[in-house]
Amino acid sequence: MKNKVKVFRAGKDWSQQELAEAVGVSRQTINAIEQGKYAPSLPLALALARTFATPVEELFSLEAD
Amino acid sequence: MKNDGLLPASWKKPAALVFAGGIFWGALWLYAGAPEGGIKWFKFVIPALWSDGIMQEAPAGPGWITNNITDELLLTWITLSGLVLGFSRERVEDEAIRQLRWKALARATWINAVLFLGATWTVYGVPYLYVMYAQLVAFLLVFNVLLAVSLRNWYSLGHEE
Repeated sequence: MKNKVKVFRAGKDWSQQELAEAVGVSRQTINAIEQGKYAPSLPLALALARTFATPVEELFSLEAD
Repeated sequence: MKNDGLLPASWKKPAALVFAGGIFWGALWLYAGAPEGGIKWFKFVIPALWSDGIMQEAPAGPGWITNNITDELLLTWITLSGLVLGFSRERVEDEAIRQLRWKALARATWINAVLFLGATWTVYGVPYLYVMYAQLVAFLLVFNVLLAVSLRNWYSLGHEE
């Protein structure tokens, strides 16, 4: 699964820690998501999308897409 | 907060010390030999649901027996501290940590089964008693070691700012 979390986070000029606190996870989890090492659950993906005020499919997409 | 079966994060470090101490004590006794019949101060009259009357000073069947409870205390010590250690929250207990714990639990189940079956088909006679002794705590030990390694790797993930 691909994601643009790092791009959106940079757009807001947030650190990984700030984003992590905004969605209630650890900084390591945000780091792992950005590096593609961890695929978040649907609730976390939706929380990230809501934090960036963007549709979830804009933030996450399948590799084939 | 919904009950997810996990214990407070503050319990983790004390549990780690107690668990390590229990494993050390148990391993020392297993390989260096325990005092004959256990520690003498721990001899009590206790209720028994089932006793064969051979290893205890008591008639066979349920009832009250005189028994040295050193090994019971050690097993309780290791089991409770191992459970607390493995099932205490992390400082930030999120879904990724829960996944690490689940993977450690699943891997520990497989590794423990392979070790146990491997020993069952290769160790015979009195030495097999040691396999059974080790099995009493092996699962918790393997689980906690795997979880500790996973968490260490997880927390060492670098910044990607």
